Amino acid sequence: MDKINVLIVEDNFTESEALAGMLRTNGYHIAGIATTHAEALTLFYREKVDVVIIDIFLGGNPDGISFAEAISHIPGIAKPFVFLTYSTSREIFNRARLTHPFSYLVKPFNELEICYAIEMAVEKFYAQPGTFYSSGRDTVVSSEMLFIKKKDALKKVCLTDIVYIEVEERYCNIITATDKFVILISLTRLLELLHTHTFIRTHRNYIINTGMITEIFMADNLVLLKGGHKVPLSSKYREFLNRFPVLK
Amino acid sequence: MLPKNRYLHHVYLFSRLTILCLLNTPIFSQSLSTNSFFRTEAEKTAATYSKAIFFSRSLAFFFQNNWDSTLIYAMRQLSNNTDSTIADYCYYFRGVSFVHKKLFTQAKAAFRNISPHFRFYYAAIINLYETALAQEDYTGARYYFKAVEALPDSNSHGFKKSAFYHNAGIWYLHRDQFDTAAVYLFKSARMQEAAKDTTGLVASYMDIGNLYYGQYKDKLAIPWFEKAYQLSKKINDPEIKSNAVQNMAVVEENSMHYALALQYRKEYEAWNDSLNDQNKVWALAELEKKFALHQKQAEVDGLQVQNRLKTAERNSLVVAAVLLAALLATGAFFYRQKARQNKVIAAQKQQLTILNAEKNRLFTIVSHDLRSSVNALKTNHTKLTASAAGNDTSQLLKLLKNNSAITNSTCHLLDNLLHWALLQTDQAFFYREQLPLYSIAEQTAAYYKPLMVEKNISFNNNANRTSTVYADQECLKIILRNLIDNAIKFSPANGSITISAAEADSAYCSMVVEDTGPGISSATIQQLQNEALLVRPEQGNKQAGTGLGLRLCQTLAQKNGGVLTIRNKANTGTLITITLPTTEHNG
Repeated sequence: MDKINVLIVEDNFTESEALAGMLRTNGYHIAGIATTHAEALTLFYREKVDVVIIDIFLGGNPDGISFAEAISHIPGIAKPFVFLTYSTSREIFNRARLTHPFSYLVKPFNELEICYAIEMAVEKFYAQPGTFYSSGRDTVVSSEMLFIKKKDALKKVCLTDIVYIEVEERYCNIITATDKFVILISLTRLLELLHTHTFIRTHRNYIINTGMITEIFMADNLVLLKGGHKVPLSSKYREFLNRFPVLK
Repeated sequence: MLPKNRYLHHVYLFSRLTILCLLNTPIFSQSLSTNSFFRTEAEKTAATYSKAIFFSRSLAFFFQNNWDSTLIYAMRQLSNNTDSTIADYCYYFRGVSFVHKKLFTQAKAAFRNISPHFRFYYAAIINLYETALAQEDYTGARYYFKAVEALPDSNSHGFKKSAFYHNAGIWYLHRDQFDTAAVYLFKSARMQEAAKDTTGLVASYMDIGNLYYGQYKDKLAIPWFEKAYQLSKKINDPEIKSNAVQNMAVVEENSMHYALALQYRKEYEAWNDSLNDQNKVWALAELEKKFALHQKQAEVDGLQVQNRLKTAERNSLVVAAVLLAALLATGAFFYRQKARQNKVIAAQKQQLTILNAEKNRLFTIVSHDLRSSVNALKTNHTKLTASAAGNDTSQLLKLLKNNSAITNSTCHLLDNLLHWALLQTDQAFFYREQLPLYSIAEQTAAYYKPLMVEKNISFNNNANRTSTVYADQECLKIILRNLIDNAIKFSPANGSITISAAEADSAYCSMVVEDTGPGISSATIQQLQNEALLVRPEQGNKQAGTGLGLRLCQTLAQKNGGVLTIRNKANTGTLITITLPTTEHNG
């Protein structure tokens, strides 16, 4: 599991430092702190950013909203973001609201609130609302990674790092090259959210990352994955092999 | 002398005959153009058939002897006529008009169209007969003559067979067919004698006299003339009388009885004069009548003008009255409108005055609170400086903690004020979504952790971790912040605050904040339930606030489609319940 990279767009140094401190304490990685719209754009494209926290007012202008609009209008590169503001005045929010999905946090805030706001932003952005707080699950699945809430901290796992997934009761074991952990999500739900070209079910209890296959033992009904992991291949799920050109 | 006289006599006869031929003699005429009975009947018919306009016009022209117009309108009436009576009248009018225009063939055709049921059918037959005579169509004349003879001899409808025979006699007389003439004249006379028609009889006797006189049978003629003369004395018709006397005068003159002739002539002139006088009198009467009529007309015109003026006056009066009424109604309407507006404005003004007073009070209290807070900070800062100078770390820490607490509570007060202001002006951003109760409670309580630790108050968040409500995030946070703040403020040291949430049903979720404080007095609860802006601070209770916090909570709960209820626990503590909708559909 990796830390989540957060880009802070905030012109007030004291506040950005306080925010960065809170985030670090809660296991986030600060990808960068921008103080202007232009700087924010530069950092956003340069760094690998997972979440953006934007102060609505940059130098007295609602540049934060402009930046949010700029990144949310480009599909593929948009990321979840949280607006920060001092006031709940309607005037300010009327424009901010147009940047869907919309999550905000009113200053001053505490650590719990900022974490909650980030989690909400992720949930809403990947269209899986209620995941962390009311569904009993702890994972939001995007096309590139899993966002997993582990002990009040949000972590991520790149899908490409996953070797295979094994079901254990209501949970799933995620096995990466270096790690192994449990996420609270059903296999069915996970399959719905995962990219089906990369992840294939080989057994009623197993999903494998096709990119991790090293060998398939048809006779033994086994799939050998990178790192020496062996996963059973049941006859029911064998047809996926037809998708690959097989030399005989 | 004699021939001349005879000639004169003939002129007389001729003139008479001409008149007879034109059917214009009142006594003998069978023509209906001057027959008053016919006229009345025809006008009655016109009145009955009021829709037949052309008929009435043609009728009017007929009696004015305007034959061309009569022809035209009768034709028009016929072209769109359905009624047989009117058709008969029209054909009759046309026939007579053609006779007058000497278009006998057309006249004949018109008369022939008249049905036998027509009341004045006899007139048509007579006209046909006379037309045949005029055309010298004796066969036709004979035929129609027989037809006339065949008609029942009755006096109804103004028909007199005797007069017809008389005319026939005269016609033959003028054609010197004396024998035939004699037959008809005597026939006529006999009938008149039988009918005691004296006037007719005088005429008949005179014409019998003429018959003989024309044949120079003077001896035979004279007795008839005398007979006529004698009989004429018994009648009133001056014309017949004068005719009879004139005949006598001519006869006596021709007989060389000049004295007698002179006497008759004088009598004749007297009658003639009387006739003229009568005519004059009639003319005068007519003139007078005309004048009277004219005067009457002028009077009527004057009255009409007066009437018109009166009507105009009345109309203008009515219009003025209506206008006045409308004006009055409009005025009343606007007056009432204004009165109502004034009432509303007065009520609003009163409300505003109260609100303004409350606001001023709030302002005073808040300012006072702020001032004391800042004052405390100021004092603490002085102490802080002293402690820092004296390196008294424990005192320093204590003061800093104190300052932090003061800042927190002031911040809270300001937050409430700001939200209150935003809410009052409806400027707050309001966006409802699903909110996890447990998490929000935790986030809010996090602010008060140091305070709770200080007072050793335990905080238990027993809310279900998956419970959510549909509300605005900031509103829910403000409500919780106020409730927790109050709970801490009123809880004694070592007390506890418990938050629990239970879904009352699928539609609403109730969140309960309990504390172990002394509770709120029922009077204050009462005040909070009412709409008063502020709660009167209780005497001797320093901690009691303005109630602004709770009032704000109530308003916010309502705005989110929920309610806030306050009650005291049985033994000790306050129990505040916020009930909010769980989903968008319930809110």
